[in-house]
Amino acid sequence: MIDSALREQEVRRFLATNFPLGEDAHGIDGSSPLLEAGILDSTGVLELVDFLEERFEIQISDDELVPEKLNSVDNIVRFLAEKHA
Amino acid sequence: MSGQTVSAADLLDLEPNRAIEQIVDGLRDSVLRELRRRGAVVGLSGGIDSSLVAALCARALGPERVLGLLMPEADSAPDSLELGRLIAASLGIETLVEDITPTLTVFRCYERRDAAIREVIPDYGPGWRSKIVLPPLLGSDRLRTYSVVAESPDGQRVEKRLPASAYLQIVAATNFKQRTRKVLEYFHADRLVYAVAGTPNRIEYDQGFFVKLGDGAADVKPIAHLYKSQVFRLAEHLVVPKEIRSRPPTTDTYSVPKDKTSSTSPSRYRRSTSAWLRATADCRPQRLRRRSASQKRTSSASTPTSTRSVESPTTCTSLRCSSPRSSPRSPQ
Repeated sequence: MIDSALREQEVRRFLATNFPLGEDAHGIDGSSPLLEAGILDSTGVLELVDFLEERFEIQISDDELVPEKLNSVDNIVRFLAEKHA
Repeated sequence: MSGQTVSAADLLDLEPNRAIEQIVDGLRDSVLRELRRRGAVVGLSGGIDSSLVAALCARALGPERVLGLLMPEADSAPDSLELGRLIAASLGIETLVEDITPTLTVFRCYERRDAAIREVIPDYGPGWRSKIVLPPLLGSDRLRTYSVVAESPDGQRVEKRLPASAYLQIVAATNFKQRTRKVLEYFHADRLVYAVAGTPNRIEYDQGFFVKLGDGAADVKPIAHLYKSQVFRLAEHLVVPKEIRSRPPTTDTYSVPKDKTSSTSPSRYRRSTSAWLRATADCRPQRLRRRSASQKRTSSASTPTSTRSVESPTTCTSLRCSSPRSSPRSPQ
């Protein structure tokens, strides 16, 4: 079982190493919107979804592609916890 | 402050005769005097933008100095060729047909695209049609992720969300189409000592809705300052045939037509890092000038490291290009 701190660490590392402005993800506030911060764009959302599905062995439905689940580090970590509950 | 309010309709309104004459004067000045070209090449898609550009070029330069290029390929809408010929005939300009399917096949455009689509739709193959869509912008807070809509030979439609790698490969393969067309436009422009007239309107230009080294490349862009409603207004005034003015919009890029249930196919949305053709308010056609070496370095440094395409001023080949007039912007 992966705990939330580890999930957050992996998500931040993924953002930091895969996107042009991803370095900002290391220090970004967990509640800051990733799209508005310029860390993610629409292609980046696809890449994030691919990463989350593969790394955390989950399936993300179209209905779950909403900002409340994916547009901040905190939301992503909370969403992963829900999927693994 | 006068306290007067101005409606959007008023802001978009323009006086057709004046607007047309400004564009025509600008085209003559740009093509004949500054670029020292003898005419213009226009790629005709059968749509209203290219038809209006052809009409403006014919008025500015004379129909005998305008070449309309018809460049169908395997996924082109069946009526594109017919409507392209219709506007050419109504203007009295010469046309040439360059079927780009064989060139695209050699580039493995279709093969690469189909392989990417098969990542999510394994049955996709010959006889199928497809397009890329985004979910509707309004009425949903869903994040805007890309999907492929495919139609089987027996008419069954299936829509699948695309993984990033498949989406990017479909876009990259599809961009062969715009780039191949542009190569042919410049071939004919070079042999005739003509300029290439681009067809983006202001909405496309402001959103970066064009392909680097493809439809974003041109020597002059006569309607880059016109919103779509203004394009329709001028097209009607110049008597562009009704069949063209009433045609549903098409990018002539994907084989499944656009519809009202999803946003326009996104493959041509591009980060416009060099909005160097920013339209001006005086209705003059946009002209390209060569950028200095230092400006090119600046542009290169600002280019995102992602795989998305960006428009580059170096696309204006041997003709003169100007420096960017505005800062980079993203359609996101």
